[in-house]
Amino acid sequence: MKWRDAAWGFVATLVIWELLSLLIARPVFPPPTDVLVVFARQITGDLGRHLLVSAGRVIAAIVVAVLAAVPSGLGLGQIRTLNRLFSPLIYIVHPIPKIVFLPIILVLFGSGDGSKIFLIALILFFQILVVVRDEAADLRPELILSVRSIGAGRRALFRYVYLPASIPAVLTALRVSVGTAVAVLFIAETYATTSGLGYYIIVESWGALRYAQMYAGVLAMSLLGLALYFAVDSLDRRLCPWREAS
Amino acid sequence: MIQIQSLTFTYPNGTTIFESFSWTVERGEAWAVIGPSGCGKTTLLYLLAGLRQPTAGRVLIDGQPLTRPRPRTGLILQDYGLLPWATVWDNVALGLQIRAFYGPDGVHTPTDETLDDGQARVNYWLKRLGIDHVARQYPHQISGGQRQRVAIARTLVLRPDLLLMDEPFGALDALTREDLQNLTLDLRAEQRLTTVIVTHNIEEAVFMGEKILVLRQSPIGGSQPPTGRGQSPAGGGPPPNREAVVIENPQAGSEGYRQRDAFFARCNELRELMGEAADEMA
Repeated sequence: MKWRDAAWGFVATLVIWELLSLLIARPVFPPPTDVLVVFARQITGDLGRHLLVSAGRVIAAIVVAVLAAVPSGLGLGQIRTLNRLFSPLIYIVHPIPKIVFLPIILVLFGSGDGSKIFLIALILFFQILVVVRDEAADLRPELILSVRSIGAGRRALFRYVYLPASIPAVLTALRVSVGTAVAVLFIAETYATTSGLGYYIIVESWGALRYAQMYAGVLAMSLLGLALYFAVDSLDRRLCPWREAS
Repeated sequence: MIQIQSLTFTYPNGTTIFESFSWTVERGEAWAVIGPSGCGKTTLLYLLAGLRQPTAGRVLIDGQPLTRPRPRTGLILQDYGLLPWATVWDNVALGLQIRAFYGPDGVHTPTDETLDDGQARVNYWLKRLGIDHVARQYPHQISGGQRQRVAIARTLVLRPDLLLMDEPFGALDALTREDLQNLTLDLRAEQRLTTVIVTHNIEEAVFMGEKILVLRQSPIGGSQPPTGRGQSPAGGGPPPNREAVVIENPQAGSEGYRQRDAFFARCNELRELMGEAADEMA
């Protein structure tokens, strides 16, 4: 999406929001003007701090998930016996909504950043694993053989074939799962923590009936999701120019 | 240059495709290898490329047993050999990048390789093969003929002395195919290459091969039925190749050969030979 389209979408949202707040006319649905004032005031203070914490957790989870899932996916995609062994397991575990593990993860990893990062990384891990595996399995044997024939051993194959082949797969997986990751982060941050946008929205704002502040938190969370999506998009354009060439 | 000594090769499923098979290629020769699909011609090429290892026997190149791909051997496949995410320029430069990645270790890279002129070499071959105008494009944006030119450029930029080609022009239209056949012969003479081209196309074999190796044959003149020795456990497969059946075809590649009677006569000879083989197998 272009920035101009994003700006237009933003303005349209504000207009519909304003109309709805006029229509509903209750404190629980404040007009965007009120919310933007609170947002502007708090983003440099409390809200900004919570936003940074949440962003840090998502980014750390993305890094952990990519580092774990890419080599595993490449291995599964290229070594058939490995895939035969593990694909039933992945098939069973992949569809489980990982958020249900939150209580167990809280017990095992404590209430700090570790539990949130682990939970989100777990969700992203399976998404990336499956797409990278399928991408690696689709690499034609002729391609591997011809690159081997010009001198590539295992290391060069990884550097010149497997790695570039997995980048678009990782970006595709992130594109579809970054939204889920932020949603799960929200839920995870409403339990046993004192930082993050989830805490800010539910505990500090909703619990205290500060509705305008709550919407400022929702706005920050939306911007976080949007920024991650844009980041993936821009990485895609930079790292995979051949996907746009036609 | 190439010596295959008592080669036996069995697929993982138990089918033996070569048994005690011996064959010699001298330096500078132009060979075509022909046979129906499944006769083992691609396997033979992969054995020569060091991408497959014999079950028994040896493959020697320049007297050295082949245990892995050899830096001075170039391999060109029918398709799918180019990196889809790299531009034409980067695809042609790939081999040089891999050599720079390893350094002149004598295993992946010849010890006498100098890569200082890499960029100039890539540009030279792009120009020589007439694909310099598509250098910034990706493989899916160019024609099949251009893609094969990229594959050839990528190989020649590494200064090979042996060029192996597996059905290199099979997917191309007739005119493009003839064009690339001529180009390959020109490059062969220019670079003093030994070439082995695998094909199932009789005309291509006769035009490109000064010597033609015919696979999946019972021994010449052999009227004895296949004994079943070395066949797959299921016993359903055809007998393995045991003897190199070679047709001498010294006029290959000469000017206007495709239009001469000698060309058609040679094609018929080959067709009959392959037909006999098919009959004997049946």
